[in-house]
Amino acid sequence: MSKKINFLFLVCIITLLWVNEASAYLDPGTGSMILQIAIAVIAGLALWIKLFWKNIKCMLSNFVKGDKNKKDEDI
Amino acid sequence: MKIYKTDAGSFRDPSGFIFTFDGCLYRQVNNVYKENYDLLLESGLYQSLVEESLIVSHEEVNIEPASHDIAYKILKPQLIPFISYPFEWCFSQLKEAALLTLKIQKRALDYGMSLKDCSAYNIQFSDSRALFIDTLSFEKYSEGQLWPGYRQFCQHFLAPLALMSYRDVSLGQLLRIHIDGIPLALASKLLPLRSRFSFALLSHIHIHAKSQQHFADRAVNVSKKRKMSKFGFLGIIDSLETIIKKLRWSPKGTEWGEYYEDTNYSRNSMDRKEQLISDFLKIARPNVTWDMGANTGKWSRIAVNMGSRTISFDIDPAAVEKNYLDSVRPDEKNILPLILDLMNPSGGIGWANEERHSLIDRGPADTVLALALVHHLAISNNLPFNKISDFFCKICNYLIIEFVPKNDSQVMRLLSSREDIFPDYTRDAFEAEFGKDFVIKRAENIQGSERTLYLMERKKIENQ
Repeated sequence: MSKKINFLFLVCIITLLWVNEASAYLDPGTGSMILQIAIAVIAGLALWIKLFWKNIKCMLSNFVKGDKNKKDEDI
Repeated sequence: MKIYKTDAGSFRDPSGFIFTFDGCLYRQVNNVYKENYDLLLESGLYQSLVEESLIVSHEEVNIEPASHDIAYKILKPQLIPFISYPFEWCFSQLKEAALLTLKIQKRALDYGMSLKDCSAYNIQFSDSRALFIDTLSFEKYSEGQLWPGYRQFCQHFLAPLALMSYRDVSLGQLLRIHIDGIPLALASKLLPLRSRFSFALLSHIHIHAKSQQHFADRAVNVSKKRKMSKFGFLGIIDSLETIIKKLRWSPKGTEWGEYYEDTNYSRNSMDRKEQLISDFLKIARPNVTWDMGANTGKWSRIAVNMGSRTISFDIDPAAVEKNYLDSVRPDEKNILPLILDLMNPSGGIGWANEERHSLIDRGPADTVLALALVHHLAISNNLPFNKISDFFCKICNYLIIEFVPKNDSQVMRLLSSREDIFPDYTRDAFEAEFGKDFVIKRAENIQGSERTLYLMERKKIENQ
């Protein structure tokens, strides 16, 4: 796992700083498959955080609405 | 004798193929796809997608299969009125096709299935709606399996959309020469540095390209152990969906986008032209109309409002984009805007030049509108009248065409920067040349302008 993270980090740095000449456009299925495994970890985490915040916002919004309705009833 | 003909573009997938028989289109489902096909139906996925008009519907029929020994079932799919290709779509059409693919992939996972490929050719447009047409693209999903369509999605959808948004909208035409999508190494090289600061583009295009190059000539043992969780899979789909939705392109500043603000038509001339087109269309009564050089589809909509199924072609991506967005908001029927360079229309491409059909092969139309067009073909592109007439002869029965003379301000503009080498560009010569292939039924001057609108009918060829 740490080897994959190192590889990903190295590629990130190289990609940000330096653009290679494009090589022959071979069928790159293997590269795509391997990248998926690495990206799925990060993307899955990102999705989890997104859904977590969406639930929090939803709960807060319901809480505020519930509080407002209670005040309206009191008035 | 009734003839079976396999579609020339339907050969890659062993699950089945498209064929025609007795003039009708069918899809053969092969035995190797039996389990997945049954699961598609029994799981409820097919029903769910058809109810929301996301996928073509089909019925199972009892005809003799095209390949008897491998056939499981024969399907008669819902027909798509006009087949179009990704390089003919404007930015928003390609974006719509991408988002539909991801929506269907997510829905498939809910029902225990997944797409085995994500080719842009799996999508077609019916009216202004994108529709998934590859019924046999679904396979059973097992938790842990990778997404074989990931590479294709990035090449067919993400790369061209990113290039159109970040660089230039005309880069979508790269899909014409790269039939399996834009190679990621090329896209990575063409995208600007600032694209690397989007994590999604960094990973799905730039790092993806590097990964492809790194593993290109390495033998990797594909392990059967768990590889990617379903949640990780959904994370990748969500990441792609988010970046696709964020990609924008604003259709301003191209040559034709503002055309109608800069013509020599008065209000009365426009009204008169509209009335004439309407009158001519009532005579022609087309089921199918092609509007060549349609711009934003103003005149196309006359045919549309008469119930004619209209393809609205223009060379300018901005005009087609505006036309498409105008059709989407009210869910307009009977109009399909597409990008087309009439000087270089889509030819037969792919294997043996047969996989994807040329424009002429996808015709003919009943009626063609060629309005404010002939001077661009004849003067800007040096096409003689007989060649223009010959082409229109191949693609229509009725032709509604506007002759724009040299004393029109638009033609004077075209000639202002070049030598006038067009002594035969006259109304008489136009009528004489077109009169060889067409019968001129009506010729009316558009009041308030120098232009003449014609209704012509193709002459019947004796041996037809």
